[in-house]
Amino acid sequence: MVDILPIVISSIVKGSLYALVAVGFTLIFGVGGVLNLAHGATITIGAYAAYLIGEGYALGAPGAIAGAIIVPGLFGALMYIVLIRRVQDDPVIVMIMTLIASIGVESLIGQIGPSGQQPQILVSGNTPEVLGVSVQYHELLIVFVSLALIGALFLYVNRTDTGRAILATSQDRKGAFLVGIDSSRINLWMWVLASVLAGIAGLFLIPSEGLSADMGLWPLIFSFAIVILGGLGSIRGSVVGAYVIGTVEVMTTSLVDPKLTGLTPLLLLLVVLFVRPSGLFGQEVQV
Amino acid sequence: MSGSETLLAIDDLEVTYGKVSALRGVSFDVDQGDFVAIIGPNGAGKSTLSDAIAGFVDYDGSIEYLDEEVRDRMVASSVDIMRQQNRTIGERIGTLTDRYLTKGARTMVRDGLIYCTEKRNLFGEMSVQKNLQLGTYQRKGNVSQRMDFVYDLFPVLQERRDQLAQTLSGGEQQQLAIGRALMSNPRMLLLDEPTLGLSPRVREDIANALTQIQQDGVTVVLCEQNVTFAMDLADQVYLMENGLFARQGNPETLRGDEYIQSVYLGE
Ligand SMILES: Nc1ncnc2c1ncn2[C@@H]1O[C@H](COP(=O)(O)OP(=O)(O)OP(=O)(O)O)[C@@H](O)[C@H]1O
Ligand SMILES: [Mg+2]
Repeated sequence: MVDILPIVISSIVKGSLYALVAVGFTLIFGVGGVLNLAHGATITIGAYAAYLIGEGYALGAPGAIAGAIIVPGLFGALMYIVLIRRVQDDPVIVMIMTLIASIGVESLIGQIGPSGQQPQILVSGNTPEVLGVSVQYHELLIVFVSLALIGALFLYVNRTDTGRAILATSQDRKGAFLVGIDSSRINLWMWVLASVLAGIAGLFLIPSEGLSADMGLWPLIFSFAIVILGGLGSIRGSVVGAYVIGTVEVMTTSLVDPKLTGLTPLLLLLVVLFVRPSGLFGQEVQV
Repeated sequence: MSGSETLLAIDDLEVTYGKVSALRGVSFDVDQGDFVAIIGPNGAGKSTLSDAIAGFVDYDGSIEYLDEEVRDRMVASSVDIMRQQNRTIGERIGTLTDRYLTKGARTMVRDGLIYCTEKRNLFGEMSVQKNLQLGTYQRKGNVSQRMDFVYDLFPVLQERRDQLAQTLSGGEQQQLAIGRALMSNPRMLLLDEPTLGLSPRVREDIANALTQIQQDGVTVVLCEQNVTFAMDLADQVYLMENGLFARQGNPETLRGDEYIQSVYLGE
């Protein structure tokens, strides 16, 4: 008999992590209609910023958290203002731009950054055993932070003026203009928000994946599968999709073969694309 | 005596889409409190004119709303970028797309220029009520009072307040579009083809609404194919054909005009 509980727990942890990444990815798509291929590089930036500021400057966990929020946020803002704003009506050019930015960032980090470090920056150790299972504190933190942030995002989008402006912009940009919503500002804000979420995911990835320039690549690829599964632009869809993909990944590696990591979500992605290819473009932010 | 302030001053306005010349030198002024109608057949340039006034297309000549050039209300550098790009990317010629609509949206709406487009541009996946609420995004104050006013004008909107905008009938959507514009408490209301696809009864409702808001001091610019509807409401009428004004004057004068009678009033 396979022990089911550890699999469930790992799936939830993975799902929570992927949700952070995928929600940002879907927000940028839903509002701006573009795919941000630098989203994975932003994860890497978050992880390195957290490591360098937290460990390098010995500022510990607070420094690491601040680094994982501020640096990716600034990166997202710069990306939008410098590269994207001028070409944002052309999704293909945006894809190319973000791909180039992503390759640039990752090779720069690969050249000058450390790699392989796997410090327990935030918390270490395991919880006491419950039902014969013990969880790392780090994993618990991922789940709680992810749920809290996504819950806050739901409230933000549904309950605030800016949230409604985000929905409006994604549903009809000209309509948003007509009521006085500055859609460039909203877009900028989506890039910042998405990048901060990705940066936090990067921070969480350090203990399990270790620092490496391309540590954001797989989460990015999974995000593709997730948001396509959940419907591009749908926040709720990407949260659900994240847990589905996380579960599929964990089941494959623990029940079938660890070497297949990543393959099954991609197969799932292909299946979804065959079944509902129309889900790919032209959707709005939904909560 | 000139007690009325000029809200909108348009001088020698030209708009081209690639090789198509949509407006070829249009000039007119709109004073505070005026009700101006632009009439004309399909393709005359009415929508282009409204889009230009609201800042959606680049133009030559001048459009001043409250003494400020509409072009300058957009971020200037963006307009430059657009002009460069227009030379290289043919298909987007003339349109001010999202990237240019930066501070423009805020300042236009904040200054009370409210535009109700021919395509309506509602928020399809939001309820009627949410669409109306978004009308107050830049212009808050008296929200519930204005909501009552709109629901009074268009009772069907109140009945369907929780229905998604995209599931409304065409006529209901049109009422919602006008309702949302009224929620913005316009100083100048710019309407493009508000009677499109409406039954005579709803058209009547809209006519009454426009009369009422004009009495409240709102300036109205109405672009309209329905000549009778426009002539009944406006103080000043411009007939546009092929991007130029072919006739202009008050409704009484134009009703007596032989050309207008034969071509537009079918007499
Ligand atoms: N984006 C565009 N690209 C190219 N040509 C355009 C574009 N928009 C409008 N035109 C052309 O400009 C001219 C004026 O169009 P416009 O939409 O302003 O007319 P209209 O008076 O509003 O007509 P209608 O009564 O049918 O709405 C038409 O010949 C039209 O084909
Ligand atoms: Mg038109």
